[in-house]
Amino acid sequence: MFCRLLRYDIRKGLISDYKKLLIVVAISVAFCIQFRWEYTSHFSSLSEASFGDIIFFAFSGMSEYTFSPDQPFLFPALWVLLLVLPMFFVLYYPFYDLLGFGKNVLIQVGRRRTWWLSKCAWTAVYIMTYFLIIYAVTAVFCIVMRIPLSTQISGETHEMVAMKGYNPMLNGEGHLVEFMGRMDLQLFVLPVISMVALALFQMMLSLIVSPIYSFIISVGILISSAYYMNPFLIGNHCMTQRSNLVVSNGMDIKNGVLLSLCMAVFSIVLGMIAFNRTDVLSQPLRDE
Amino acid sequence: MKTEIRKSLSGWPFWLTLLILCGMTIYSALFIIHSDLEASTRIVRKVVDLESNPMLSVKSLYSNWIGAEWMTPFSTLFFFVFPLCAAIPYGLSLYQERRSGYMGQMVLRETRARYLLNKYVAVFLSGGLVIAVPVVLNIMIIALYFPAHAPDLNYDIYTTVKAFSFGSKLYYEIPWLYLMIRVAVIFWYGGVAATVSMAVTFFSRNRFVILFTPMLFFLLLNYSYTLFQVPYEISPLRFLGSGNVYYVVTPIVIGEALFLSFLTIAFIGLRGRKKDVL
Repeated sequence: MFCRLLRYDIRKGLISDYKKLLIVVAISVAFCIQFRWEYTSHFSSLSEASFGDIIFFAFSGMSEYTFSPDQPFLFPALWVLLLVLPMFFVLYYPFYDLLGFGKNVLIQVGRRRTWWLSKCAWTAVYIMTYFLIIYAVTAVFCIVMRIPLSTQISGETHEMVAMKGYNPMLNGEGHLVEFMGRMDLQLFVLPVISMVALALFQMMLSLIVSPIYSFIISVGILISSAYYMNPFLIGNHCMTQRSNLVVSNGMDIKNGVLLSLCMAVFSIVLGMIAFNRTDVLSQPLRDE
Repeated sequence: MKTEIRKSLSGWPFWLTLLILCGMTIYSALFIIHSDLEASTRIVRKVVDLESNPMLSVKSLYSNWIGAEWMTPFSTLFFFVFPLCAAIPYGLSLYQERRSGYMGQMVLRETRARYLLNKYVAVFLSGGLVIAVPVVLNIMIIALYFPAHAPDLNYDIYTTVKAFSFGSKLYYEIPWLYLMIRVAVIFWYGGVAATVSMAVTFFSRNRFVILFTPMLFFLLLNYSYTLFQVPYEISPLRFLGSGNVYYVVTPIVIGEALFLSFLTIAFIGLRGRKKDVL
């Protein structure tokens, strides 16, 4: 039953809702073009660039921010956009579904637990699809621009992103470490796991408060992540500039995976308990 | 119109959103005051060098209110979520009234144009107030502690008001007027964000799309400035608060608000007149 329900969710909440994902395609094309502009303005040609470079650039975020009276805090526009979008995309389907046909599905399934687990699995699949689209569009861009599809990060991009963003006067105790050129897990796995965890947390909160206010909390976590370099603020694990492979006091992948798993399990269990007690017939959306 | 305005300001979404936003601005104010008290204590205890500059000129209401400080993440968060928060109180009302058939009843009792005008004013006011009131509250709390002396031009690197930027002359000459204009602009953008969601009602039947469109629009606008390397700050998410690096110029601040207001009025006027209520 779980697999059938998950198939139904994927068909209804992902495949038939493909228009939203076109926005992801457009933004991916935009940041690829932005990378090309910035890279060629620094190094004249794209000969040293690679697929990994573009992803490194897109998820670079910002270096550690230390308050200074003459240094305003500027949230990283691209990073915020790339992480806020999936939070919005997975926000409403589970609860919107309950307004209509989903109620019949819930009755047909017979168990609330199965319904909730299916929605959790759907969220994970959605986030993975979101990242896959970003990677796929970037790969197509690389093929068109004849950029190698290697995940190796060039010294040029490291210089353009990490060294340019690093300010020893402002970046606290951390200092740049010798960059080895590879950070595959931090680049392709950790952001996905972290965002799945945050999305599950948001879905659980949606049951307790409401989808809109839970979204505001998710955005708050992401903005705070940019402001404070703290491993407990999950957005830090999605910034390549804050990895311990880039700065000495950066985020460790083991901590990131562990925190994400704990957050995901906590959200699934608490969400299940909350959903068992939710009156889905009278008030599926509290903010209405 | 009175009924519409009363409805828009009496619903619990308005009060809950107002409460959350007030929480953010109060935190911002208290954090700033607390930080300054700590710094003053260090001076009293002679922990810091007494001959160093105590930066008294920066300790002004005009450089510490939420639209000018970047010390707390809440000031950034406040101006980041403002388009969504402005739409929450009454942005969905037209969608709800169309869906429930209430709009049809109202259109029978008054003209469609009048109904839409009343709705527009109520949505604009609710959006503007829910954003502007917390800012005013923040200013009031900050004013309890910091003196309202005019900013010193020699310390301009500690403020986000650059020379020749939006209202910079007023900022140094008549700062209270500058503050009022900034709050009025924040109110205007709050109203515009709320009416954008009202305009989207004619294009989407999804309540989440209606609510989130203003925020997505402003987020994309915010990214577009980095993408196209625009030399001026064009994103309200940045220029309404303190987090801006580029020049905030008057024609963009006013022009953008005017353009969006005109666009929403045109959309609501044209689509609202033609779209069947049933």
